[in-house]
Amino acid sequence: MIGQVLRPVSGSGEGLRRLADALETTGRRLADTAGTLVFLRDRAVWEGEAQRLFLSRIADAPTLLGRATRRFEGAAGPLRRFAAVLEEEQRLATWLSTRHSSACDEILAIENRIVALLDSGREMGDPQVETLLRLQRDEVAVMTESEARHAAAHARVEEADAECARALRALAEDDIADSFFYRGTRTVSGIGHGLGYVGVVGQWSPHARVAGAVGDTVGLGGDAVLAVFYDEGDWAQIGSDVGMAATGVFGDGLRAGAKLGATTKADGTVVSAAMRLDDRVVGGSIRAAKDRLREARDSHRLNPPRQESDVQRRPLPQRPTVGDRVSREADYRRRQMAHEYRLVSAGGSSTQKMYVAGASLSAAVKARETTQKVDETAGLVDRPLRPTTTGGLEDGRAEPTGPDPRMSPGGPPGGR
Amino acid sequence: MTIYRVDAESVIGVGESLAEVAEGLALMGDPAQERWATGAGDTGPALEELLGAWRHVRLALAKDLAALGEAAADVGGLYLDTEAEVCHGLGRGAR
Repeated sequence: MIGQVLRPVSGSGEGLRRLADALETTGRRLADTAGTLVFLRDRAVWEGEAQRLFLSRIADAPTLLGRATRRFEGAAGPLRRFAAVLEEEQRLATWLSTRHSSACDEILAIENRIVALLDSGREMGDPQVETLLRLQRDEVAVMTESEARHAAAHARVEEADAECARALRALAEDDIADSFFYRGTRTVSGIGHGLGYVGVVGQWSPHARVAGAVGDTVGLGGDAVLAVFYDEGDWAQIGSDVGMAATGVFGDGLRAGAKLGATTKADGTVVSAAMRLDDRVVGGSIRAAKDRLREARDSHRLNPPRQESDVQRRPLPQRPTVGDRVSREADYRRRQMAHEYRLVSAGGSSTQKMYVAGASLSAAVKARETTQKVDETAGLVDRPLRPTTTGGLEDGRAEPTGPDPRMSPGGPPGGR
Repeated sequence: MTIYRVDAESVIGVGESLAEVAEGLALMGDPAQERWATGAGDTGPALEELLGAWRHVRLALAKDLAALGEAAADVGGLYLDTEAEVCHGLGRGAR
C-alpha cells in the first residue's frame, strides 16, 4: 500500500547471542557450585560434628542449583537458533522496507509526471503517458512483492520466536517454579514475604518473637533495644546453642538488610533506594556472610600459626578482663547501632522494624556469648559452641599435646 | 573422638565462592530488561518466565548459600584459631 511504512522486525540477534553466552556462563557457574557442594557432601575436606551440621545445611542446594543450571544452560541453544533466524530475516526485512519505500516514492513521482502530462493536453494512450504508466505498474509490482516478502520474513521470525518460546517454557516447567499462590501474593502485597521471613524467626524461638514485639510495640531505637536485652541477663536460657547461632546469623542478616540501599549524602541526609523487604533480607544475609568471610580471611592474615621461635620471643598477650570486654563491647555496639539506625530510618517503618528485630537477635546472641565467657572464666562450664573433643586445645587450659599432624594447611592426605 | 582433617583456607575459599554465587543469585537482574533483544514476540515473556519466575527458590537458595558461606567462614576461622592456639600452646610450653 502506498504510503505505508513496513514495520521493522524488532529484537537483536547480537543481543540474543550475548544473552545466550551470559546464561551459559551463569549456568556453568551454578553447575560448578553444585559440584563443589556435592564434593563437600561426598568427599568433605573435614570430618566431625561441624561437618555433619554443614552437610545438613547443604540439604537440597545441589539439586536446586542443578535445576537452575538446566534453565540457564538450556536457554542458550533456543536463543541462539532464534538469533540466527532473527538476524537473517531482520536484514531482509530492512532491505525490503527500503525497497518498498523507494517504490512508493517512485509511484508517486510517476503519478505527478502523468498528471502534468495530462494537464498539458496529452491524452491517455499517448506513448509518453503509456510508458510512465508501465513504469508505475512495475513499481507497484515491486511494492507489492516487497510487502509480501516482508510479511513472509515476519512470519518466519514469528515461527522462530514461537519455537524458542516453546523451548523456554518447557525448560520453565520444573519444581523450582514459583507457585501460583506465591505469584499472587507477590502481586497483592509487596511486603508480604519480607514480613514472612521475620515471622520465621518468631517460629524458631518464642523469645525471638518477644524481641520483635518489644521493638515493634515500644518503638525504641536500636541502642535502647540493645540495652534492654543486655540488661535482661538471662539469655543463656534461650534456645539451644545451634538455635541461637542460627538466629544470630539471621539477626545480623536482618540488620545488614535494613541498611541496604541507604546512603549518606554529602549534606548528611540519608536516602534509601527502593528495595523490597525480601530483597533486603536476602541481601543482608549475603552481606553479613561476606563480612564474616572477610573477617575470617583478615584474621587468618593477622594471626597465622606462629613459629616456635616467634612465640618464644614474644610475651603472651594480656587478655582484657571480662568486665572490660563487656563494657567496651556494649559501648561500641551502642554507638554503631545508633549510626545504623539512622541509616535504616530512611527506609521507612518496615525497614526500622526489620532492623530492630535483627538488632535484638544479635544482641541476644552477644549476651549469650558474654554469659558463656563469664562462666568459662569462672571455670564453670565448657564452651558448648566449640568442639571439645580435640583435647581441650581451644581454651589453652588443658595440657598441650602438640599439633595434630593431620591438621596441615596443605590439606588432608588421601584427597579427602 | 572427633578427628579433624582440615585445610582451613580452602574451607574459607569455598565459603567465599558460595557467598559470591549467593550474591549473583540475589542480584540477578530483571529479565524484562532483555526485551530489546528478544523483540516483541513470545520469547520475551517466556524468558521472563524462565529466568524470573523461580524467584522464591532463587532467593531461598541465595540465602542458603550465604548461610553455608558464613558457616564455612566460622568453621574455617575456628580451625585456624585452633591451629594458632596449638602453636601458641606449644610455644608457651617451651618457655
